[in-house]
Amino acid sequence: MTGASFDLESEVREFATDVLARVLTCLVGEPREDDLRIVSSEGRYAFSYQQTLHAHSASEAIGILQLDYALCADRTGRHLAVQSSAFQLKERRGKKPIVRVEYLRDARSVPCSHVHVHAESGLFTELLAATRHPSAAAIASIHVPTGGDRFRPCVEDFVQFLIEECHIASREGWQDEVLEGREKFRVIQTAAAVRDRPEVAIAELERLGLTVTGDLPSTRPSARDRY
Amino acid sequence: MPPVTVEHVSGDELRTRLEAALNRVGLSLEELTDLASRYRLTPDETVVWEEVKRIQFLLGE
Repeated sequence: MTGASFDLESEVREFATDVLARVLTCLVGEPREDDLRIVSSEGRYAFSYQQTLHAHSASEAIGILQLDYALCADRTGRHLAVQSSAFQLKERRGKKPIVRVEYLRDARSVPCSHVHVHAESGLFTELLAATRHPSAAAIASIHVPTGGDRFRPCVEDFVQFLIEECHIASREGWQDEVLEGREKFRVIQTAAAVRDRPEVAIAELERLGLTVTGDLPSTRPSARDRY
Repeated sequence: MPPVTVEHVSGDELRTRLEAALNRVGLSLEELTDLASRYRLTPDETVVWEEVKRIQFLLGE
């Protein structure tokens, strides 16, 4: 995925296929569309995928999983970057969200990686009203931070959350799929974290007894340090 | 597994789709944005808002 061999559209296709295969392999359910259509314009790509969720393999749909991704090349032009993503648990019609895990790469006023919970809490609303919060009655307006760019939840974490926390019906072997996908995500994010802070990576490698030679590029993008 | 396809769309086509999405809920972009910022979207408006955000990204806005 580096240098002259970088083909953004191929990367996007592979990424979307991976995501699709992962959720279909892990969760009982059917896609709501016959194909997964990635819409592209000027080097930007976006897709939205919905799949039914079930209480057990023979039950009717009780909810919808919706995954939205906006993708492009990163600042170096050599890697696929997620500009935004949203993993949503929705009610069975697929319109009203229940839980949303979102990532907004260029977020300024909210945590770039966050969770929205569409629920009611009298105590929370009372607290927010006391602080004169502009949307005290809408608990869903609160962005609960989840660790920034590099340590945010991946889609496999959301799939595991649906299965283990919400008891959504799963398929045999889902654990291995989730582990494999999560490992792939974390390898990518670890590499990106090293590019963000190579000095830290070098110091840690040296602490492990290794010798790192060579000079760091004099100009490189600043580390991503968003909330 | 459903096939994965890539559809290349022009800016004009995206703007046409934006207009059509807004027409489905009878709101202007400003009105929809205002409702979204105040967390007052109906379920149908939520679906359109998600589509609007996708189109705006593709338009580079």
